[in-house]
Amino acid sequence: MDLGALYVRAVRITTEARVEDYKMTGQCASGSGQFLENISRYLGLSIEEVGDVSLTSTQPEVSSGICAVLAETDVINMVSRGISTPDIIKGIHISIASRIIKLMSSLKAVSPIVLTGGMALNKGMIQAINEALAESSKGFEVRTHPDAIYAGAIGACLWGGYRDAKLREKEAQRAMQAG
Amino acid sequence: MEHSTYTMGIDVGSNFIKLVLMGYDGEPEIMDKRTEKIRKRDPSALGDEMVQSMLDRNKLKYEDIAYLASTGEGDMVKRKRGHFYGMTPMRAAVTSSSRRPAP
Repeated sequence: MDLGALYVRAVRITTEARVEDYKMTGQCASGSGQFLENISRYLGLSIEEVGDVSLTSTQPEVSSGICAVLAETDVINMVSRGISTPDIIKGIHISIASRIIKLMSSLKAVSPIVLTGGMALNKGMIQAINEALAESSKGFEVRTHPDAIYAGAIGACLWGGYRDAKLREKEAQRAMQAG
Repeated sequence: MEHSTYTMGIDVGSNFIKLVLMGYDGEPEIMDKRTEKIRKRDPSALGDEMVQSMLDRNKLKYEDIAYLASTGEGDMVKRKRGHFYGMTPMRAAVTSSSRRPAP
């Protein structure tokens, strides 16, 4: 699953790396990294801080999670009600995690789940996903990597290497036929 | 360490551009990587600047790169040398064949 700024994309592959199916979230931004960044900015946090802040939450306050605009209004209400920043942030993570789990379910995902993209570096996000999976009794193993944000660029690099090798093969064949 | 073949991959996202340089002698090796927040800059110009700066840092020239592949909104990446290739995002995968340039 690629947790990006605007979309969450999920791809199911076989052990031989064949793509079986893929899905992505719709137009609503409430499940995206950009949404999390907007809320963080509103609360005076940098995006790099939100993961650790979320881990300190004791009583998470979950927003509606239906729509980014409504969720932002929810957050304003929470601030005025004196809800702590960690509890608001954890609530946002829980809301995003629930959307991610729904996407996993609709794709009929199987363990292990590998998370890539910028949000995969967010410890609070990983914790919320693991907790949501535990609640839904899905025994999925969730994996990520410090280079998770580079997954697309690494894939493009490898694909470029594959294409280059194929082009060289074709050129060699043409040269042999011409010779 | 010098390699016989180099490729670069650039992933142009909504917020960040991610760039990776790989060297090959059998197994691929990540030689360099960089992310840059787009902010209000032109993604096309920023991507080009990132490529050039990574080449400079690794003492390589454009001509040394066997393939520069783009993904995400990578259609914006300037294709100056003919080895550039755009992999369309998944949401456009159905129509991707008509958008891909011939390699």
